[in-house]
Amino acid sequence: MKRCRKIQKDMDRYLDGELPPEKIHAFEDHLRTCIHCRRALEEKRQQRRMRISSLMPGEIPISTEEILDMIQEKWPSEKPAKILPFPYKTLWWEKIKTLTFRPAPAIALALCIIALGLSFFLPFGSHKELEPGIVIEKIESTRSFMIYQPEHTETTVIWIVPTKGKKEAT
Amino acid sequence: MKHFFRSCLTFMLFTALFACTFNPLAHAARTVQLEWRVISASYKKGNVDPRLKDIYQNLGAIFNYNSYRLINMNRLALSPNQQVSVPLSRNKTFVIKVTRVTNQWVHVQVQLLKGNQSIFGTAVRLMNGRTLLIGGPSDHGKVLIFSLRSFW
Repeated sequence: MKRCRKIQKDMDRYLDGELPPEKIHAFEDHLRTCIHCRRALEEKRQQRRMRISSLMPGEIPISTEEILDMIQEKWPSEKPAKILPFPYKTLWWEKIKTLTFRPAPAIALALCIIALGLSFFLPFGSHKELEPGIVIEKIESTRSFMIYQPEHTETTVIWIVPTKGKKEAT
Repeated sequence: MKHFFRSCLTFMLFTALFACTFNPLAHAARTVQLEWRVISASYKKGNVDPRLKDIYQNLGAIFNYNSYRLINMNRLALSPNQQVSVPLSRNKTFVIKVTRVTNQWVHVQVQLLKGNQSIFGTAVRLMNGRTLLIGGPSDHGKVLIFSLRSFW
């Protein structure tokens, strides 16, 4: 019931094509399931038609296009509104046009994108290159071992020296 | 004036938000990919396992063995305090445990077990993409080399 009240409140805006696109979907969904609201909408439509027909006797406009044509005839200087196909969907570039430009978030976003880009290409933290790639913190072994770091490789070798009598070498 | 302060506040909030979102440090991995290979090397003339193609250059520069055969290879994502056992030969096992992951380092404990007895243990920290080779244990006249590499 509460939903119906809300829907009926939005009916005028819906008929005028002023309902935001995100609400239109919910509105039409409700109409599909609620016969009372469907009737109410139909009544509202009829009332509007009657009102227009009373203004222009003998002619009962049946569509928005016809109403717009009449307006165009009466006030030719007025630019006709663009009629969007039903259901009234707003095109994405139209949505973008309606967005207000906010300089602060836009600058912050731009700076962050630049910083992100730079972080990929500039050698931030070049000290890393001087650090060893592997640090041996602790070794416990019952056998002898040796550690070496071959040049020009990113590899460290720990070699466990085999017990006596076994021939193993590098 | 009110508008100016509001703009400043919005700017700072957005900067903080995007810095947190895109900062690589904020994305520092809490899990780390560890790749290990168990390689059997010998002086006998033989081939180099094609699966070792990417590290053969390193192996060739360090060791003078003639043949290298890959016995076991795996890559797992480990988080701190997770450990995994890698069978090396019949009675030898390597146990790898990730102890800590920081933005720059992965701290790993590697232990070589013979049966249940520890014969070698080390705690190392590795940077991304570095390789640790632990070699020496023998297996039927061949030498086993254990290669451990970290990625994140």
